[in-house]
Amino acid sequence: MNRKAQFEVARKNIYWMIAGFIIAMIVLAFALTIANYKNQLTSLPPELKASLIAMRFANIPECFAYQDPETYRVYPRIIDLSKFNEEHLTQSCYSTAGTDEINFGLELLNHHLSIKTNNYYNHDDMDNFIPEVLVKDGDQFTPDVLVIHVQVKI
Amino acid sequence: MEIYTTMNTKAESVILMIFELVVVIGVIAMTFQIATAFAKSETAVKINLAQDLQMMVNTLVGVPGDSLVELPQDASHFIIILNSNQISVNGIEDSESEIVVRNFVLPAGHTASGTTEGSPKICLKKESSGDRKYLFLSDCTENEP
Repeated sequence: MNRKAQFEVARKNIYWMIAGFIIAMIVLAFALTIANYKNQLTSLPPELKASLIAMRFANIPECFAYQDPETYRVYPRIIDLSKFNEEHLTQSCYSTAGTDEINFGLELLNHHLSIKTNNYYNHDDMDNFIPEVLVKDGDQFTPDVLVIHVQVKI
Repeated sequence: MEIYTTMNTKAESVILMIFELVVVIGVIAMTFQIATAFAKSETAVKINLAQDLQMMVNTLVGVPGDSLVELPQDASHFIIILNSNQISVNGIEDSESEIVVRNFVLPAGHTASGTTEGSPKICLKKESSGDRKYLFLSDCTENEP
């Protein structure tokens, strides 16, 4: 081969090395774009999931809502103070297998009481307030604010 | 020093052109295959369905008393299985590896169960019996009077 032919062959080799790399990157970017689009179609705000789970805390007797022992009527947003402890929260209301699930910290502001689920480590991602709850302590009813701290994932 | 090859420059350029054509066709085929696989896939629909049912379960759990909810979605292409810690959705003709699962946590005294296959309308029902609460997944026609 003369010098011109050698130059042509070498130029083509270098061109295909670079073009092959760029084409591979483009195909990979295309596949990632489609995967990202699919994730966007199915994404759900963690605030929504946390709010729906947190509904149970003040509304059902298995959590903290007061239930009349004679009529079995449930009173939503009336917190039974005798149930407001971590043992009842974990065993009866809500518990998680790890920190990749949503965990909660609950706080009654005026009563200065706070409890948390078994994998809550004060890594708050959002707060979800439930104002105007009543706290039943024996025969006494006192207004309070139930603050729900949400830990989405660690 | 001269290097002798068996091909002349015209033959080399023809081979290079064929090689370039093969590469272009290969890249087009790859991207087309990726796009077609995505378009045919029902994974996004299954994920959305499983997440909706997960949220429905959490909502029914958080509401005192009995209730009945109809899923506002056509589920006629899917098999849905509900048990006490997860909901799983799969296409009727899909393999087991394509199943979509979402977990939830039920309070004490709650049990969830039910299976539907090819039902266009599915309902989730919460019933109390003493201290026990039951969540049932079923075809909505079973709940009609």
